[in-house]
Amino acid sequence: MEYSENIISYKGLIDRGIVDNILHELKTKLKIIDLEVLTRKRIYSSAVECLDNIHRHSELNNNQAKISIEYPPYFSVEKNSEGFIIETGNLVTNQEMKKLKKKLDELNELETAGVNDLYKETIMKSAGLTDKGGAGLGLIVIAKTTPKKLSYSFQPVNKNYAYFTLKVKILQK
Amino acid sequence: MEELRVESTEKSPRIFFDPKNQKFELEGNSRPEDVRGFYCPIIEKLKKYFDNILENGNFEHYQDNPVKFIFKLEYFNSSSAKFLSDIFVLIGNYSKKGINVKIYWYFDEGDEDMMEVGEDFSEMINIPFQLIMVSQ
Repeated sequence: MEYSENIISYKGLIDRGIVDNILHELKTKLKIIDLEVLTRKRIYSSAVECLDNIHRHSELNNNQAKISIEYPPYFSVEKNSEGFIIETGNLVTNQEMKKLKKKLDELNELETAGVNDLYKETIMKSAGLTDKGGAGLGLIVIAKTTPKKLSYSFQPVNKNYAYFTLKVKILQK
Repeated sequence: MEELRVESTEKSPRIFFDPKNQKFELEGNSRPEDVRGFYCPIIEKLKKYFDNILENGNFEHYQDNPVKFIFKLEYFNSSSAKFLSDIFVLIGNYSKKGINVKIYWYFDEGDEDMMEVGEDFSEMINIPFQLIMVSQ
């Protein structure tokens, strides 16, 4: 049987305080596990961007109280024989779904070097802009933490919303 | 110009800007809640500092005594990356105007990602960084 161990798991509405608590707990737990610096930092880095993404949609989730109860945000980190799996889930509008899908497909077509180049390019372009920080860079940062493709799904909820899930596999060296 | 000290928290880095000794240090973790509110005043202060040097026109002094920038980041999120990039572009622009700068980029042993980001920023502004590996 495939070995799997839960490191952290959260389901429910997410605010800034909850994000901080989850990250603090994750950091503490990762310190206990004997890990190389790079793996530990990649898990943490990916987790921050995943949680920031969920938090960015938290207003939507909170406003859609009825659907949110049925489809609450979700975040987990698991350890298996290969490494670590970060899984997230949250409601998104259909419009956001299209943007996310396009971005994720673009990233999945790139090899590691291509992702690194895109990161560099995006960082360069972002300098000097008054645009909201981090726009578009979060998913690239997540892709940078793994040579594996980002697996995702969109489950239709109603005519306006879909439930987005993302799975990031971080290999242990 | 007065010095600037910002103590670190779990989410924001320690900043120490010492104009008298021509030294700027940024150390720790960076994922502040209000990333713009955190970095904009620092960028403004740096800009004023560089403008002052340009106005005084005493470039020769800086040839032997570069303005030192010391980055000891353990972690930064994607929103902070944009502002770090702004800081580097600013440094790069004033360096082109003739102010001598020296940039030190620290990273933990084994943290290739942090080393590579240092290389990326260096390439971006076309200034070689002093990359320093810190043993665990």
